[in-house]
Amino acid sequence: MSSGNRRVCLLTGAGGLLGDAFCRALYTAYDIVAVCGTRIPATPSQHEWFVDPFDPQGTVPENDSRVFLIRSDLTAPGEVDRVIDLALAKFGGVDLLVNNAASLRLHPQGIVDGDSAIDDFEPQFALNVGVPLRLSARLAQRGWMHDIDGNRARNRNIVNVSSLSGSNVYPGGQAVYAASKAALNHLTRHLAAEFAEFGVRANAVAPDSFPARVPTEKVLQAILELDTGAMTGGVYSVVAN
Amino acid sequence: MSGETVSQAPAWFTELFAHRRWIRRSGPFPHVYVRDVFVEDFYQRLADEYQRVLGARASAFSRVADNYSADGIPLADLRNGPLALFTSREWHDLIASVAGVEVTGDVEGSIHHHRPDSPAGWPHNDLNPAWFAGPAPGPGEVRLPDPSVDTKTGAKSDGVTARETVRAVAVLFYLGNPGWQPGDGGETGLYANIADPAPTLAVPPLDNSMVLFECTPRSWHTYLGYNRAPRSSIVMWLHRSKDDAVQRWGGDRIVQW
Repeated sequence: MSSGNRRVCLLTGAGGLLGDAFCRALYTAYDIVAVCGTRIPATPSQHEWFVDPFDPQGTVPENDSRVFLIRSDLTAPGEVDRVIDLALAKFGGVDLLVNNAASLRLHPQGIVDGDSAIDDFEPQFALNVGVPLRLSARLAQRGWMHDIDGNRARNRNIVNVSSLSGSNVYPGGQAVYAASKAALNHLTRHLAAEFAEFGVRANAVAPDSFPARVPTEKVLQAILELDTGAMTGGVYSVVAN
Repeated sequence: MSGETVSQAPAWFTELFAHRRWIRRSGPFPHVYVRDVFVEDFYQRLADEYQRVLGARASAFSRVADNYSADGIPLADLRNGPLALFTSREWHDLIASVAGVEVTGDVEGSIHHHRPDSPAGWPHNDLNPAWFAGPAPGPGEVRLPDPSVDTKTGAKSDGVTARETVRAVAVLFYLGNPGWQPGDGGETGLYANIADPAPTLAVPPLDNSMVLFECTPRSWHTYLGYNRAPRSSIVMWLHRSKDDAVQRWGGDRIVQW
């Protein structure tokens, strides 16, 4: 079950730049189910934790907030259900779903240069759109749909990490990636409309490229503002000042 | 000394360390990993001394073992400068305490230097015997190998007594590898199973970082080779009594040289 009154966050892409920053900044504030592939966040988990070399038997305060690490290819059959099973078994519920995992495969010579854009379409859409859909639907079916009071009391919500590419045309071969983010934006609006019935909000952040043009911390702050706010159905740009 | 806290370590010693948040990992076998072990000033003294030794005493570096690609110089020969830290009782007690292993005060170690493009080693567990001269060291003492006893075989000079111990804790401290980047090679591979063709975890030789682990029948590790640049480390072991090792692991698990 949740540790005290901490909010439970299910975060995908936890080993990436934004996911790692999220975990490092918030692991003492949230109970985090950190879903990752080959990279892992630099935080205490059930697999690694801190020891004080001058008091190795003593307690280290940071170890009280270990992230619950799950390695998963979320596009593989059954993996979304397995992750949700583990998250619910560990914490009993999820208050914040951050769909951060994404595939970014560019085609600098354009979509007509061989088959690479065509070949990348399905795996990119599977992770960038299909996984957020599956996680959202399953979390609703496994708890949120029948807990309206709990959803509202705990301000449960979904934050999808999208991109400005989902609404603008940029050079560099982003067609497939951008299309997936456009789909994610509209999926977000539909999730908000449907999940309003049981009091779960859904929004997206659409950052400019980070950390090159926008500090990662600013993207992180935008996610936190959505988690603590009351808005739903929005796709919020995160751009440099 | 073993197992108990070393919070009473002297200030001159504790002040050498950059922080008190080492990382204990459960896989692929239990080990402790540390980035930025020492404060920058002291690390730089260690690295400078290493470069001085490498330049001034190149002929003292000899092949560590047949078919293994490292040249080494024993820590026992480096007790007049900052590298003496690694043969101090304070360091011994710190490592033993973190590892949580009953140890004897006997210390063996070397600086290992791999030339560029050194071949990989083979997975091994370090659960090997080691012989030291004389009685067990008393509290506050360490015993290092000396010429009167062959550390690996126990062969000894006439009239010398030798004690058989077993390696208990392995320490690898990386230094003198500035600018290492992923792809440069020279990592230490840790394996969940010796049958695995590839390491479960590759520890990079980042300057001022360290990995340490108890030597067990399953502490499989090796040098992964394919280093683009020279790769250097301090490799050392603390020891447990043979009786303790036999009781803990069984005598047949001790790997003879």
